[in-house]
Amino acid sequence: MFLLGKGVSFPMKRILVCFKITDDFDELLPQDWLNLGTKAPDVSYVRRILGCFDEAALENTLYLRDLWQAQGEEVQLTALTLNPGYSDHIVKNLPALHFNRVVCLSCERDLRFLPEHTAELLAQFIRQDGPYDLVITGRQAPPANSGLVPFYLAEALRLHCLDNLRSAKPDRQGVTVLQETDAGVVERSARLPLLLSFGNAERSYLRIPTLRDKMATRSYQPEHVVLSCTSSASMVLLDLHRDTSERKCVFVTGETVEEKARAFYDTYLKEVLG
Amino acid sequence: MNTVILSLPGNRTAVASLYTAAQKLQSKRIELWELDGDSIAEAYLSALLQQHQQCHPDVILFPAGHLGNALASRLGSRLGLPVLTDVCSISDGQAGKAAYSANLTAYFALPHVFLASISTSAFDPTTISLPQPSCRIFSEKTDWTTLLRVLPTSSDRSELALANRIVVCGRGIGTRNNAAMFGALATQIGGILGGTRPVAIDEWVPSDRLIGISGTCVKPDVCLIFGASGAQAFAAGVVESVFLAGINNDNTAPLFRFCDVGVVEDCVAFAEALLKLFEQERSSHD
Repeated sequence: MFLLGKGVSFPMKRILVCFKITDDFDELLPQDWLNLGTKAPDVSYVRRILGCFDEAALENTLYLRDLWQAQGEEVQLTALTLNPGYSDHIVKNLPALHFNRVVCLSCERDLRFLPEHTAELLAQFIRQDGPYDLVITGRQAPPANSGLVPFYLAEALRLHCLDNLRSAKPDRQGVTVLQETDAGVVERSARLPLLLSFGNAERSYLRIPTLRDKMATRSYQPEHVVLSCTSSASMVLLDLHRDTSERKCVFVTGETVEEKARAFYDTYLKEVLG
Repeated sequence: MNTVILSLPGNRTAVASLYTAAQKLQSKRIELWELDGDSIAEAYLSALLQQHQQCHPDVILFPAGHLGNALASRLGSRLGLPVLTDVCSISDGQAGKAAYSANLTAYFALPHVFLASISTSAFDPTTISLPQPSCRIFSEKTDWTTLLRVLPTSSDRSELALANRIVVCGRGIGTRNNAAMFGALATQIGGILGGTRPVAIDEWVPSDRLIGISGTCVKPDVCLIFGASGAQAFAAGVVESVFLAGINNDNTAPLFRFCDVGVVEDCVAFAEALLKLFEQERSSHD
């Protein structure tokens, strides 16, 4: 029943990792969050970053690649992102980290709160470009922070899915993962093909390419693919609201750290601790 | 509106919160389906689809979390129904959830038929007597994945969510070794230690003590935050605390926007000074 790879013996492991380039919303000025209605805030002056879970997905993809290669297996890595988030700095680092391909999908539609369409666009590309042994994603990314895309993608591709992962490593069957569940952390083994979605992973930060690798891949151009999406939203966004109720912070004063600690202890801590 | 609450075994508090959410939807009939078995969402999907075909509820509410979110999204996808996750408010045909890394709340119009996972900490548990489950959904055997072992946990996650006093470490505490001193301070105030995402990811504190939207949202009576910048994704996890104090050596840190009391100081030196005061206090009582 599976569209990807069932019963097929691959000459090499093919892994595709989906990632999102987002804006560093912590850099946005408080006033730029106000009165947005359903519009996106002005992010023209903030830097672009990888979503934290997607960064973990990229790093863990490289880690799996390293382990498979150490066992003598060939691995082909494709990194896939979907506009509007784009950053030359981030995208150009990926070939230097030995991703074989970097593909940037674009769609004219505002996909901010349309996880089903985001998943469908990713699935369109993966179906055309597959089969893949592993499709890897991060758990969720702003602005919607819905966490729906990995599951919708698994459904669209009819792949088994292990989500909220801390780590993954190859085993004889496919992969062994550490998965954070509601009841605690479990270790599971699963066979390929598979969709893996990383959460608060042990390897959360993407490694930095060497200058030599950066120089060697500086002429690499990512592939750009335009896709269309016409269906309507299933959940209609009405408003984006900023809670402006901030507390009035009272600062503790003192000449030395001991004086401040004493003032804090006597004036506040004793009282709240009762 | 007929609403189904999907519950995980043994978590009556979450069910009581989901019941409150169902009441806010003006549900005429509220039914409880209880899951029993594996933590893999796929293992329940066939049984849930069958049950749905028999009952055709308008709304199914899941507890937000690992299994609840996975089930809501996968079942919604198979039924072709809209899904909203991590809902933190419901009123007047709208539902709100955190968006833009918790910098905004996004409000959506609720259709007549939908699935949603509910942040149970955002809804006070109902005080009425809860109904017995009308059906039990058992997980099917999965042949593509094998559970190898359950890892021992350093703490019960609910312990953090329910704690009345919490000390939170951010990256500003400097090193992993310093975390022990903040643990001692937490013990001193009769509370427990938590950490921001970078600190928990690097295991300076146990990873199940992560506070923020990607970990646990807490609402203690007393929350002391040391060396955190105050990123919004963290702030959303502590902002419901009754008393919030922040210690950071940068007086422009966003942390101070949501604290009642601020101390601009090296957080390690300040914690050491506080521990000495507790020690002096104890000596004087002895």
